[in-house]
Parts: sequence; C-alpha cells; structure tokens
Amino acid sequence: MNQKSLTELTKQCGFTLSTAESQRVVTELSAMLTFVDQIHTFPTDDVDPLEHLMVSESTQVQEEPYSDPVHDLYLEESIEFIEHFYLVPRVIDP
Amino acid sequence: MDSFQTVSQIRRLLDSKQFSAVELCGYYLDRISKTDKQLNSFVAVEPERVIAKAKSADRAIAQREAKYLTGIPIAHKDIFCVRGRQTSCCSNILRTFIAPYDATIVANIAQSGGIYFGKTNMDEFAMGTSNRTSVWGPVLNPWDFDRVPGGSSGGSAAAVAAGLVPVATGSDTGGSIRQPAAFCGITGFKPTYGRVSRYGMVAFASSLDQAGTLTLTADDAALLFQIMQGSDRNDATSVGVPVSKKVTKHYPLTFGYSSEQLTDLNYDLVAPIEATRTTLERMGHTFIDIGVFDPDLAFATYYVISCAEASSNLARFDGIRFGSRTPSTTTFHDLYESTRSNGFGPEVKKRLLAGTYFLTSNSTESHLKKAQRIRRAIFDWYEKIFQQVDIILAPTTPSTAFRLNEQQNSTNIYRQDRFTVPVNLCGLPGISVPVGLVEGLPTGVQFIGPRFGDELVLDLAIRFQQETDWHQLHPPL
Repeated sequence: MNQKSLTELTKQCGFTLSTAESQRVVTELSAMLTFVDQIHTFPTDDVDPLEHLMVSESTQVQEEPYSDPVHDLYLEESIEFIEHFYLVPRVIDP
Repeated sequence: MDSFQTVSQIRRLLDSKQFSAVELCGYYLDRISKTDKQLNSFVAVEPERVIAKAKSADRAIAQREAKYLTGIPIAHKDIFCVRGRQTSCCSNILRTFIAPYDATIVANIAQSGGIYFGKTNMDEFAMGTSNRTSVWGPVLNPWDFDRVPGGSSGGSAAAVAAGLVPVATGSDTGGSIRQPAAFCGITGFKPTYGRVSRYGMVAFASSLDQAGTLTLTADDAALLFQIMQGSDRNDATSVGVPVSKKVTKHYPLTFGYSSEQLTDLNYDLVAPIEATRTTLERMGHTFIDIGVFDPDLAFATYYVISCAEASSNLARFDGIRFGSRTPSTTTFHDLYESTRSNGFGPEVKKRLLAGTYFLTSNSTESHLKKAQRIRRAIFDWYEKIFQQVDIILAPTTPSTAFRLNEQQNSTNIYRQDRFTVPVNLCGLPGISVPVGLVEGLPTGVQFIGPRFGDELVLDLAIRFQQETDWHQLHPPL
C-alpha cells in the first residue's frame, strides 16, 4: 500500500482523507495487508469458496399488473411497452 | 429495589404486585440519570414515553392480561431500527436518521410486552472491540472507569452490568456480543446464523451479522431467544426451526477443548478456564482435546470477508437516501464525497478502504475468493469436530478489559476477536458466561455449539450457572 494506491482507493470509496490521515492509514493498512497475507500459506486447492452459510430463498412475490385509469393512461402514452409493463427508455435524448 | 434482578424475578414480582411497572421503570430511569453521565452507555432514553408504557403495562397486569415481558424494560443497541426513533449506528452519517419501521426483533419484543427503554451506545457501524469509535463518545467499563467495556455492543453490556436495565439487545459480527459480555461480567448470547431475523439491523457484514442478547443470566438469554427467534419473510436468510424446550441430547456431554489455545491467553486467564473445566467435569461431562484451527488465520480470513462485505453494504450511505447530508455542495459528486468524508469516522474509513481493496479486480481472486475458500475449510473443520463432541469450551477473550487510553496497533486490537470470529465464520451459536475476576476485572468463557444447537448451548449455560455464582458478582457502583 502506498500513497498512490490509497488515493485511488479513496476515490473508489467516495471520500477523502487529510494528509495526516493518509499517512496514518497507509501505515496501518500496510500492516494489516501484511498480516492478511498469511492466507496465502494455507492450501485451498479443490476447495470451493463459501460465500454464504444459507441458501437463501427469494421471498419476493411475482409482480401482478392491475388495471386502473392512471395505469392505462401510462401505457397509452408510453413509447414502448411489453404486455402490461411500461418500458423505460434506455437513452434519453437531450 | 434490587438493581440486578433477572427477567424471571421481575416477572414474579410484578405479577405479585411487589412493585408496579411504573415504580420499576422509574427506578431504572433514576439509576441512569445518576450513573450514566459517566458511563455513557445510553445514547437515547425517553423517560416520559417509558412511564406512559409502564402505566399501560400496569393496567394489563391488573387485568391479568400480561405477557411474559409486560412491564419489563429492554434497551436496544443503536444498530436496530425502532420506528420513529433515531437509529444512528453511532455514526455521524446517520446522526439524523429516523427509522421508518421496527426491526423484527424490536417488534417481537414489543409484542411480548417489553418496554422499549432506549438506545445503547456502540462502536460506529459495529466496527470495533472497545466502544471507542462511537460518534457519541466512548463507553466506560462499570467495573473500572479507566477501562473499555469491549465492543461493539459495549453500551448494552455496560448498561446491563451496571444494573441500568435488566436486558439489552446486541449484534455480533465477529464477537461483538460475547467479548463485551466477558469484559463486563455478564452473559452474552449469539444465536446460530439465521435463527434470529436481521431485518431492521443495519448491515455491517451480511454473511456474519447476527442479533442476540446481553443479560445477567443464561436463563434470561434463553427466554429472550424464544421471543426473538423465528423465520421472517423480510429476511431471506432467516430460518424457522421450532424451539425445542427439551434438549434431546443426553447428559453428560462430551466437550471439545484445546490446551494449545491457552498459550494465546494472558497467564492470569488460564486459571479461570481450567477451573471451568474442573466444574464441568464435576458435573459429569468429559473432555477430549480437539486441537485448534489457527486463530490468526481465521482472523485474517474474517478480516478480508467482513471488510469486503462492509464496503459493499456501506456504499448506500451517500447523503441522498439516509441520514445526514453535507450542505452547500455544487455537484452530485461533491455531495457524495463531502457527505461520506464528514460522515464516517477513521475506523470505518479504514475498513472500507481495505474492503474496497479486496474487491478490486486484482484482489478478488487472491484475497476475497481465497478467504472464502479458507472459510469453507474452517466450516468443514468445525463440522468434523462436532461429529466427535457436543460442545466446545473456549476462551472468549485473550485478556481482561484493557485501558481506555491504551494505544495498540490495529492488528493487536483486532486480535481481541481471535477466539470469537470462527463462530461467526461458521454461523455457530456461542454464549459467553462469566467465570471469575482477575485483578478485580471479569473474565468469561464460551460454550460453542453445533449449528442449530442453540437450545443445548443455552441449557448447558443455565446448568453451569446453577453450579457457579460468578454471574451474581456485580460492579460496586
């Protein structure tokens, strides 16, 4: 970890650090990354990653279109639609 | 009135009209006003609302319509949404966030009659082991005001240990219930991942986070668990397993134990854990040595996964949808950057940077996927162990509570959780129970069970506390 890579990371994180903070964070993150590097000493050939402990089941219900005057008006005014659904334009021309 | 009454004792005394819910709540409110200015365990208490709720609880008791928690004060860690109330996660970025709904566990407790007493302090976004990263200031340990209470559920632990409230909720991503429970001399229970809904609990690392309790006794933890647990349609990872009132395992139990782990402990902490083993043997249980999965490797694995998940989860705090927003910005980018720069504290920023690094294309395979592979190896290791043993006895922390102003490097601070993180990586149930004082400070041990062995873990802890009285020691406040 160096100042350049930290600058890139802060940009990706969407925040800034003061100069003093940056220097401290470079030191501390470098130490942590060195500590973390021990994971490379453990052999994991043929081991699948365990991303989550639960096989989650979706509890979302299917969308059910219903008819009402406003809904029908939207569909009439829409440039494009599929069945009962308004299709959001992909490109908005200014 | 006794400040350290359990839920069961309070229930009996309320029902037999030894005191009213109004008197009970008034007593705790008075203790908070006297003690918590120094301790700083609460970030919000609403006396008028509490007394109004207590009055309606008294009416329900008089009409013999009381539920099990009717009239009993319960504090929630500031990570849980309570409808219409500030839920700040003790972060500047959520300082002004008012939750629009109740977390499932908050709703479950309210439906059982529990009186929402207030919000407890915590490390910012549950990232810490000392409760020093809260935007509302640090919490002190009620046993010694110069020391930390542990974290991240330090406010809940300190409040229960100080007798300011009989029960508090907490969350545990890498030990955040069990470690402060050990530091404060109380009982901290982290259920199996999935047995308690995470809906309405602000996410830190979604595959590790679990809600639980901080209580005076294991008996209270078991009672609260029955009320809090259950599948929830709002949390796809919650699991509905019927609560087993009878533990099917036949006592005595076979314990897994690692003498190798004791070399990682401060010398003074070895005697209490050895004494615990002796007590359990006297109760008829047997022990076998199970070795140990390298705790440093487990911690490194945890660090990669938790930071990566945090980086993803906390991306939602952008100043647009939740909480505080920095005014006087000209562009969307400025708004986003300024809000997050001012909103997050140093510890959170550091973990988000690490997590973002692990999620970059160069590091995903070398770090994140590698850590997930080791996580499976750890999971398999525990599965194999639980084919031979019923319960594992392990230390909760490598030391007693450290000093508030003690400067340690990040690696050493994080390693406070080295005995607790494997439990989260594998989604196991674990309870920390007090087992003595070392130079006047509490220490604890963990009973770790197989997945969905929550009832066995709780039952064992209850029986252990019937044989010992460490849980009856309280700080001299």
